[in-house]
Amino acid sequence: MRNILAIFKKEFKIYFDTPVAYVIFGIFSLISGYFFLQIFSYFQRQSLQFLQYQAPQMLEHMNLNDMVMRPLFLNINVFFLLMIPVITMRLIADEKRLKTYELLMTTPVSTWQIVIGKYLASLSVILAMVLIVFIYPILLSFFGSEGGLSTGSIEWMPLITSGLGLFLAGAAFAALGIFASSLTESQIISAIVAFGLLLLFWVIGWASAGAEGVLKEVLRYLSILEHLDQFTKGLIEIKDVIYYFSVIFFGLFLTQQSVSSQRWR
Amino acid sequence: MIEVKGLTKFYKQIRAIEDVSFTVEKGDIVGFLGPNGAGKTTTMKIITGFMPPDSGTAKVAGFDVFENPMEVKRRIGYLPENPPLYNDMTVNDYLRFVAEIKGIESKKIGEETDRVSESCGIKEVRKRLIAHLSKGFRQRVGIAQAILGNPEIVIFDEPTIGLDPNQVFEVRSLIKELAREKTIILSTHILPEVEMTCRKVIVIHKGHIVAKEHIEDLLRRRTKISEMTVRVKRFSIELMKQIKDRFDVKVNQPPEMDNGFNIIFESPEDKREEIAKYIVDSGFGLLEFRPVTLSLEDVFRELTTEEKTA
Amino acid sequence: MKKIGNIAGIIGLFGLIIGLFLFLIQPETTALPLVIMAASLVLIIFYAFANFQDVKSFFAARSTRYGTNMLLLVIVTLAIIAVINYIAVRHPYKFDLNQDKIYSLSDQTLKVLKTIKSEVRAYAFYPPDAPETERLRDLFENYKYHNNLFSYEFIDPVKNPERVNAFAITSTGPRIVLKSAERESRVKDPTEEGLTNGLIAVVKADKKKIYFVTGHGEWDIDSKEETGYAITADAIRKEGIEVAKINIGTDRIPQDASALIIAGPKKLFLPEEVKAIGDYLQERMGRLIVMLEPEIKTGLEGLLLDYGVNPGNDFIVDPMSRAFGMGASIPLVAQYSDHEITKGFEVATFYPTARTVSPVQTVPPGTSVKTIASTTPSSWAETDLESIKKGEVSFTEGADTKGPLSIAVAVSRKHASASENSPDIRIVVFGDSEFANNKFRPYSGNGDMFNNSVNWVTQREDLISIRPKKRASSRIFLTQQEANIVKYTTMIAIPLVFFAGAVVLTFIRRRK
Repeated sequence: MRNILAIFKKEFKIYFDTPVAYVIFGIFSLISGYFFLQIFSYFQRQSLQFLQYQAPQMLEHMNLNDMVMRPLFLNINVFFLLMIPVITMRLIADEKRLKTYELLMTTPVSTWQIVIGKYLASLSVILAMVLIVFIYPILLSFFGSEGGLSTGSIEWMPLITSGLGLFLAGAAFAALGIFASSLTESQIISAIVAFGLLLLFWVIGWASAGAEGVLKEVLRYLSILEHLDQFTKGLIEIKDVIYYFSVIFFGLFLTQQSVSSQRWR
Repeated sequence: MIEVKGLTKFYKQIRAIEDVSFTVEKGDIVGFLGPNGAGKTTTMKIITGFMPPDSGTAKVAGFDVFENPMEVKRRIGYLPENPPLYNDMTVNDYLRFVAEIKGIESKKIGEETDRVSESCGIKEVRKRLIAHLSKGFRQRVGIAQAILGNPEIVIFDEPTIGLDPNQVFEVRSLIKELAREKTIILSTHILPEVEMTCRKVIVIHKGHIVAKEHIEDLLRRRTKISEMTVRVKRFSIELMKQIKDRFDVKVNQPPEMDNGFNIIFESPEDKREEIAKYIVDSGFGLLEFRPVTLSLEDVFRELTTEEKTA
Repeated sequence: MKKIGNIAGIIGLFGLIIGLFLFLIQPETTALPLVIMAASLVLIIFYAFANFQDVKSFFAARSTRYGTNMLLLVIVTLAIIAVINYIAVRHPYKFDLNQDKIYSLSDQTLKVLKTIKSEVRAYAFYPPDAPETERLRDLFENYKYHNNLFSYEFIDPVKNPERVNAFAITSTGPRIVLKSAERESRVKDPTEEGLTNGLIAVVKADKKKIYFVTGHGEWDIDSKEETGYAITADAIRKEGIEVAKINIGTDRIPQDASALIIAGPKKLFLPEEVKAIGDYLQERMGRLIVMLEPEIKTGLEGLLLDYGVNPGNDFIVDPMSRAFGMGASIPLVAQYSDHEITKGFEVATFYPTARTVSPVQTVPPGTSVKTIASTTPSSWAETDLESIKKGEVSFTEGADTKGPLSIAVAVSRKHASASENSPDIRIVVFGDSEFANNKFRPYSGNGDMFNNSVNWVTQREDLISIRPKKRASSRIFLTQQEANIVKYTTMIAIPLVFFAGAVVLTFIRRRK
């Protein structure tokens, strides 16, 4: 436990004491802010149209949760696919390049401790990104409450489940990312391999559209982007949680095997 | 303390080391000598448990490196060829991190990092970023890292490589300092380094161990009494001729030498005294008269040919 | 030799992957991927042969032993993970954290799902991109979640025309079929209400049975001739409803009758028969479809008037029908009301030789009488029946009524004491009987019109009404100023804070 904490602290420091994390947050907030603004302004235009055309029943359908926040989360999920390999790429590859790998491998730390400590540090970056997304609904909640035309308020519970889902999705991506990082000493190759792996899990989802029967269901289930869907509806399904944890565990397991293979390869 | 038996390691088809065996007693300071690519680093990586051998065993304090890596790692401080430093950390953070993963009690970490900073002379750079340190300081931080937690055995892989002469001197004295209380293995391709710091030497060449001996034996080996160098103030070809004829020896003048030549004795008879006397008396102004010192490569050549004939 | 061996090995490896890929993505197994894989295997064996020494030392090495161990461990782990996931999929559990539990089923549905004791499978004929699909899938998943005996399947009607035919699905009819071992029911509304009511119909123990009344020259359900009703009867049987004949003059109306159908009687009903029908309706919450023909007096007029239906003594003429290749005596209906029978109906129906049937001015208390189909504005109700025989009809101002004319009505009546959910009396009256016969049934929406009517009148279940849940609306109208704040905060302020942090940190670190 102490060793995990030590590794975690070191990685955390490298993320947050250097500009790395802040550059990542900057880029992320720029892109997610753009997503949010696009979706939100479309939502506003639509509401105004319904208001002008006196379509109250259509207006009743407009809600911020389903029409702004849900698509936002789903979009960011795809963006995570591109972003997270960048976060995880240096975790192990860079140790190999800097030769500090030899330090880690010759001190009494187990490979599991190394892998988990590093992984947890990458999760802290992902958690921060998920929290950045919450700035948008919080910002909105300051407006419109007293205006006569605005009604209702954002439902927070589905947002929390969405955030949880996004975090789990990010954690699953990161587990594959750290595995890719353990395969090479080049950060670039690590990022490309991670992206390739994630893309593969994404493409599986497209393949399910063409398949039939059991195969279709299996492919749909394997697809890494499918599982956020229920979370964004305010639903926590055990199978989605299990899926994410399975990917996380398997990714970390492979990483651990890959790292400890150093010992006998 | 360290017992290595029949280590062999191939990288793909290329042999790195073959059948390397030696033992290191507690308190020994062993120089691991060999030219670049001789297999020094490979052997050290195997002893530290970083890399497995293809065959053979290495035991540290009775624990097999492959079967019981944790016990071995607890006892060894290791400075790899490139000091394992995180450029993005400060020296202080770095030492604390290493202390933590070495399992040093949190209460003692401060004390311990102070101690190693003191003894490695890196106190004044503790708050600096490692990326901004000079090569010498980086090496010292590397050494500090290796001796953190006071391990019984310290292994240095080419600790002075790439340092300027001043830094080399500092690092060597640092190692000598350590040598009082620890078992040390030090790899190098610089012969004087071994002479200056070690008591024993293991010579490795092309993956094979060619000699294991005390440093005095090696020094003796280095000086070839059957061949002497002569330097004089007023050199002339005449002198060479006279000596050749008078003492029945071979002479030759290496191209880089313009005021001297070498004398090679072909009979076991010791003629040094007479020759010296003759040069002095004939008024050429003798400056230097010493046995030829072999370069490391020559020693290796010597050692390897010896092995073959023996 | 070795070099060729290496090339062979690489090609073999790629071939194996490509072959496997083809094998997995091909809808039907063909020989090609198998051939590729076999050839690749040969190449790999050749590689192993060419590099025999390497392969031998590879298998002898410690790294191989550990590598194999690792591979085994990975496979075992993967298998365990697969099993855990399989269990999780088979035993779903979920938490609906929405305020109004909008993604959870209503209590009524849960109660119904609890009564399901044998397998029920839903076949939904919607293409994947239909607007209803996503919500419907959610619903199905929810049903399945609460009862494992429920299963579902989406069938893309475009891709599977043969299954569309097998299930007799039409574009205007219901597109969801719920099927149990014994029964099936069709659901028109892809909502929770629709599905749950459909489920009730499937689970209910008794089978629906309709009786075609005979003895007054009605159309014969066994006759395969153009004027017969055999095909029509088969279509109804396909929907899981039994069809039988009855002579109410001699036999009593059986207990298992879900509805009576009087299809084009040519002779008068005896008063006793009319009374039997009346009693059946009144006492047993009876159901009835009456299909009339112009000019023919049936004796049922009084009964129908009691229920607020007035069969007009006329003949509908519609010159517009000629545009559709029909005679003027075959009025066209393209206008339907929002009744359950005709909901979402968008195709025309044709009624050869029809009279009007319309709701009376003042309907009896507790009764709802609704026109469900009306003719076009170009039609009119010809009252001068003699002129038809002469073949010289024309619209007479004052005597004839101008279209649109009511050609079919649906009646439902409840007893004053009945509670909201108790069954009602239902009657559908058409001003024509030939539209559903063997010949005209396939025309446009005719068949669906009749089937929908049968389905409506035979619906006896205590229908459940479930209010569709949706998230409470929440919307924000920002002023220009507020919109700007949002814009500049999200696009400039927040990213700027991070980038500035990165820059500051770089400077601080430069000094360290």
